[in-house]
Amino acid sequence: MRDLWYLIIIGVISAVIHSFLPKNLKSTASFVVIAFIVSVSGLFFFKRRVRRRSKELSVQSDQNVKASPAIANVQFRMAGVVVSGPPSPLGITFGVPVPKNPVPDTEKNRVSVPRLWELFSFILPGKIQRECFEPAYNDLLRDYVRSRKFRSKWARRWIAFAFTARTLYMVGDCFRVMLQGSAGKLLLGLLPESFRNWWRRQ
Amino acid sequence: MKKTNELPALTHLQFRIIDIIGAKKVRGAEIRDQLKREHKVSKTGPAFYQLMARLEEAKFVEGWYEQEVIDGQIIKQRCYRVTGQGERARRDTLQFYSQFAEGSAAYA
Repeated sequence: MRDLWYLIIIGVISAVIHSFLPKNLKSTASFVVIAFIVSVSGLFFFKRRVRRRSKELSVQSDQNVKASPAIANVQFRMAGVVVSGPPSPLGITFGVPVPKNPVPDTEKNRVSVPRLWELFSFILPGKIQRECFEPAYNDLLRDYVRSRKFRSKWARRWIAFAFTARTLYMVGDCFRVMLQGSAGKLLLGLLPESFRNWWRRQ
Repeated sequence: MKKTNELPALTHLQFRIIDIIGAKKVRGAEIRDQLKREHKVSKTGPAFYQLMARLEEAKFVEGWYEQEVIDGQIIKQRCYRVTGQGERARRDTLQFYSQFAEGSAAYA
């Protein structure tokens, strides 16, 4: 039953994307290609969900261990202030508030975003990726970090979907920027006349 | 005023961008916001940064990444500063257009 729902969702999304294509590109083959891309993206989302769930479980178990009274040395971060307890020979913890510290540049402190977003960019040539995609992607990450104040399950899902769509749009836009360059014009010359006419109208 | 025949090295948009940056250090996103707010120029992210990359290639601006901490997370931001060559190009462009401020003979 669940698989059937997945198929229906893939079909609907593919049909919507297919309807945006220009008339001369609408064909069964293009629909199949779109459906394939949508299914692969869906698979990525599913794997990401599984990965996130296992990560959440491991974090939760870590927290349970830290909450145990047997552990004397406690250190946790709360709204930019680190509260730490030095180890005591008696095993008693004294909480000492430490002033706001600069955030070290560690892997943990970097924005944890779905890997899929970064993977999209590898389809682009190096120069376009470096000059166009990367700074724009960093601006997007800035928005993403700000949007993380919404904590509910559906809000997080919607944010993930919205930012994935924005990243996809950005990759598409990078292609557009690339095709407007001199190298792109050469490449465009190799494509069919109908496509070139459509492209000129954009 | 002496008329110069050479066309300016900067386009109108490049001129405005260099003017926005001025003598300070500005983030790419800020320049984009200002262009949109003041001139209704809404360029997409990749198109805007390609424009900035061209300015960098021409050595009119200098760009680098800076790390910023937002909500305890490190975010990289592209920052820009105008070079001496960029400032010279801005002045040349300004001078080029100001020579037409008094009106052309064809419209007299």
